[in-house]
Amino acid sequence: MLRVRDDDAEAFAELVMNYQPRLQRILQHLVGERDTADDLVQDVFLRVYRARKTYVPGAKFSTWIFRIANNVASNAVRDRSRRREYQMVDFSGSQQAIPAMDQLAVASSSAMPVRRLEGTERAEMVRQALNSLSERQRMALLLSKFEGLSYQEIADTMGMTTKAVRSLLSRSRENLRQILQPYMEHGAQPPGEESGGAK
Amino acid sequence: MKDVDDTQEHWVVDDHSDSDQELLTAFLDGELTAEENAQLQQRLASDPKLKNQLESMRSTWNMLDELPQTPADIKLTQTTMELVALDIRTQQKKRRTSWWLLSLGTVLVGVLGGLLLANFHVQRERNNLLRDLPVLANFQVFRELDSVDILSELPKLKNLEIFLKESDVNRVRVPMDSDAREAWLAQSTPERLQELADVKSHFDRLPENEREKLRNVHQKIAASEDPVQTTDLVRAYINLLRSLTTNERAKLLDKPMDQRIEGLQGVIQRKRVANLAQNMTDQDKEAFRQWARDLLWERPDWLMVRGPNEGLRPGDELRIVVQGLFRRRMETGGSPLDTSEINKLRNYLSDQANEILDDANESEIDFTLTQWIFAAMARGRLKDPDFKELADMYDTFSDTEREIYDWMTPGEAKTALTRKYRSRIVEDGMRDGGRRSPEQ
Repeated sequence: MLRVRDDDAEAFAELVMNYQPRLQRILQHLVGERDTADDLVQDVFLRVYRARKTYVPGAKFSTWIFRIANNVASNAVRDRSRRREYQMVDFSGSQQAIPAMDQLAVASSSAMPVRRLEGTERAEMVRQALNSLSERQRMALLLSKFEGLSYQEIADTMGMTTKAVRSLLSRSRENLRQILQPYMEHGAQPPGEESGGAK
Repeated sequence: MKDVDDTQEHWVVDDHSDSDQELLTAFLDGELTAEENAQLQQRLASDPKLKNQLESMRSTWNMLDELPQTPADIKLTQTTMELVALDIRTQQKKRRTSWWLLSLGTVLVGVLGGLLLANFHVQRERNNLLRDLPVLANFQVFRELDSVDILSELPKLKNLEIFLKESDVNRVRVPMDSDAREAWLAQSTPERLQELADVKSHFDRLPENEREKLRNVHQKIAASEDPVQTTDLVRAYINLLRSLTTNERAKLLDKPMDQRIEGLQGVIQRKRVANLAQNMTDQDKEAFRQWARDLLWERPDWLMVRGPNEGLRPGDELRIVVQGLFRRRMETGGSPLDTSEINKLRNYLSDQANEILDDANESEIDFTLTQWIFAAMARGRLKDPDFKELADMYDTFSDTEREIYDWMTPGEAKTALTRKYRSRIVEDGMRDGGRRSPEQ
């Protein structure tokens, strides 16, 4: 980052290549759509570049860039919720987030028949469960799981105390566990899909 | 799932399960001190329930590994670098402009001494201005046009004009006839002249080939059958592109022309669907309600799942139908609406809605109707014209407040809202220091 601060374009390209997939993954889980996430990733890098002179050596770079990403994502989510007077549901694609809780609620019902989950279906189930968490819970969880950030680093990134991070992560893990418990125990998935072509 | 307060900073120490949960989380995250770690290990050895809880939490954590990895996207890296380069250039240009303005001030002092020369210069500038007037009037729009070839394709796009904004429709139009421009300019307000001068200064700083490209755009428009309409279409097209995200736009513009037109038509269709959802007429709202009532006669099982104590309350029909559609989608994994239901619904819907559906392909129809059903459900309440004030007040409520009324029958909601309305009037009256009586 010090090379970037001193206007080294090659160093900036390296930085983009290194952090881009990581930011993409986090932002996509935060905002839902791939295209929006890609736009936000670019916004993050643009902000990093513009603010490069303010980077203080010694500050951990990943904490700094994820803090920017957190702000960018929060603004985007806030803007989007302001724009939407009501929510629209896309039944046609795999990117829908709104029906998730409804589906999960029905899927959790013990009255339904079950079958083993396939890999991609399991991934989809986990994705939906993750989407049902609040934005802050999701951010903390993703930073901890995929970036391996310590509580102190997550606290610095999200502007919280470490104690609050500990509590936030605990609640997000518990919420996730409650949703995914039936699938872990029985290897089951939204059962109605069995009649729709189970192998 | 329980509602969680993310800002809560203190964990409840006297609640064993919550504090254990935090302890286990910190243990799994490697955030316990050596002492805490040893204590927990001891407890785990003697408490099978706690050990089970730990394993369950560990399994959930491991399930997150199922989420797909995001592969490196070279194209995104490239566009990011280009974006940053563009930002640098823009910043540099801004700095140069300030320097240029300063220099201009110095030069102007010198020019005062050579008024004759300046007069000649002004005349030449005026001729250039007259020639480029249509380009200057559409400068930003023409600059965003990705290719001149698209101009002949725009008339093929059905309903493109829905992307025209009010400011486009009401804009001041420069005469296409070059002879009329002199008179038009003479009648222009000083503000408009200033605006044109600013744009011209920007235009003049462009490289010659760029300026030529913009002039070509104008010439092609002027040669079209209806130049005024073609200019409107260009404006609508640019507005459409602006409504897309950077990536959507890049993907669309990368396509060959025929596929691009197809993609653009898709964007227009989506906009029409969204417009109808946002400005749904009473006829269409009633159409959805009537259709939902019909459907519930055929699907009493959808009513049953609400539980014997809940029953059907007036105004609940669409909500129950939506829940039924959710369940059906999960059962079949496919379309939530079947053909006969779609046909019935179309019989009730307005001509405008049917026209949009006529232009949609089969998969879009399903998606479109679903969006509209949600819009009708969200906007269908309390729109009785007799209760306009109540509906207006309801519109000012937060989502949480609205939810209280949403679950009432329309009759109950009206009674409760009337009560709220009266109390507001009384509160307002008291705030106004008794200037207004509650009855007013």
